[in-house]
Amino acid sequence: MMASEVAALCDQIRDRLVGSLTLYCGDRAVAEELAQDALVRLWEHWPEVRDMASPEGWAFRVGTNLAGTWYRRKAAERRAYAKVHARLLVVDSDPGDVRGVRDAVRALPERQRAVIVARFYLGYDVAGTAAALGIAPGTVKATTHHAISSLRAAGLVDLDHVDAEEA
Amino acid sequence: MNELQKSLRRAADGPRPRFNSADIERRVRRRRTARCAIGGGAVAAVVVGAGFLAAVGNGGRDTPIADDNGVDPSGAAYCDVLSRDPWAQLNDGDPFDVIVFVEPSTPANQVDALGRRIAEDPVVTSSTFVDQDEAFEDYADLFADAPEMLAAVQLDQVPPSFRVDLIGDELDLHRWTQQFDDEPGVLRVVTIESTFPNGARLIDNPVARLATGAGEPVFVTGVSAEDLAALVSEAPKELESDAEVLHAAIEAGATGTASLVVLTPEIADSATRILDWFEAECRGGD
Repeated sequence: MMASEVAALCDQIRDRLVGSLTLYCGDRAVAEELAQDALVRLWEHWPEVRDMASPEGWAFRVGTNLAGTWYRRKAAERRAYAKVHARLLVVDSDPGDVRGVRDAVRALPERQRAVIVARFYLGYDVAGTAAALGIAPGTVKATTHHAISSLRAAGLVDLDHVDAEEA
Repeated sequence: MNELQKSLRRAADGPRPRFNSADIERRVRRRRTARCAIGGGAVAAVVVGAGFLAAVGNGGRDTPIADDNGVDPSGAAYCDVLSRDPWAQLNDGDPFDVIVFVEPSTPANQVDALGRRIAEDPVVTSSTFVDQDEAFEDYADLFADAPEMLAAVQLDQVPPSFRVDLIGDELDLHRWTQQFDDEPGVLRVVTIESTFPNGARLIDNPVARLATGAGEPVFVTGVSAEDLAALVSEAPKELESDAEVLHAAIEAGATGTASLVVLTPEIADSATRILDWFEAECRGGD
């Protein structure tokens, strides 16, 4: 039955989707919202999505698109809100030790961020990443290279091993 | 697994997400219900009104409800209640001054052109585009508990809009509103002062509007069950019966988190007394 099929997939990819969007947008609570919105769309588009090579990749891409809208809108709301409420309480519930990595990833341009998360968190290969994000395989390679240079410059981790793999 | 993969895993890690496929299925159902239209010419007007309600109501929803214990005999607690959203939304047009609703069938390039003209207008300080999907979600959230309101509207009937901040006085606002009302693709330009087909008006400070507009229906938005309960439970003795009158009036007209209150002299008098009390007791120290 279709509903149980898509429900099973939702539960199966939920954790990875929230994780990947956490890296993409830098905030786990926001990522959870975006993941739910992305899965709602996955459910609605299931007849088309079910035959794709990677429904998870499709959901990740939808989530990254929603993230852009979410932040643009949030920024506008926050500006408006600040006018009314002088101050806004922002609580960061995530522990400090993961912030460095999230900040470094978050500092990357949108496409580099999506490619890094798809390849090294979701574990897609070049072709899978290209298909999920709707860009050419050559672009994936070049973008990965640039992103890794930036992450190395940010002192994220020892990336020699990664670089060797990419070359 | 290489170092980058390991640190990404750690950084992405967190508590188990608080939703599962059952929640997703519920949301899908809700959106489907909302898309079953009843059609009709009045729908566009309802949707424009609701679009504005959703936009206005949205401002109040993120505000945490303070945890007050018992009634403070000094009235400070009630000052606090009335100072919070939704009762105290300021009357300076925030969080935006104007919403320009766009005809849903308008081609994208015409919407872009309209957006450029809005953004380039010298009295405009900012403008944000809200697309159909977002507007529909706002609408569905606002009327989540009101199946008849959800059933009345389809995604393709919900107009996208520009939320616009202006500088200038009331005259500028009026002129600007008139000018953009005639632009191609514009469905309607709405301000906080606009009146809707059934005579209903939108509202910033519900108590103030209830106090002044005797005879015309008033939309009250963004009032949660907690807000409404606090209006009565925190009221000082002398305002108890007035608070109960407002409570009953808002509850009677409630649809989701919005309420359409048909004003009577009794409601207006009660609202006036609460407002007067607020001005006397809570504004003095500012």
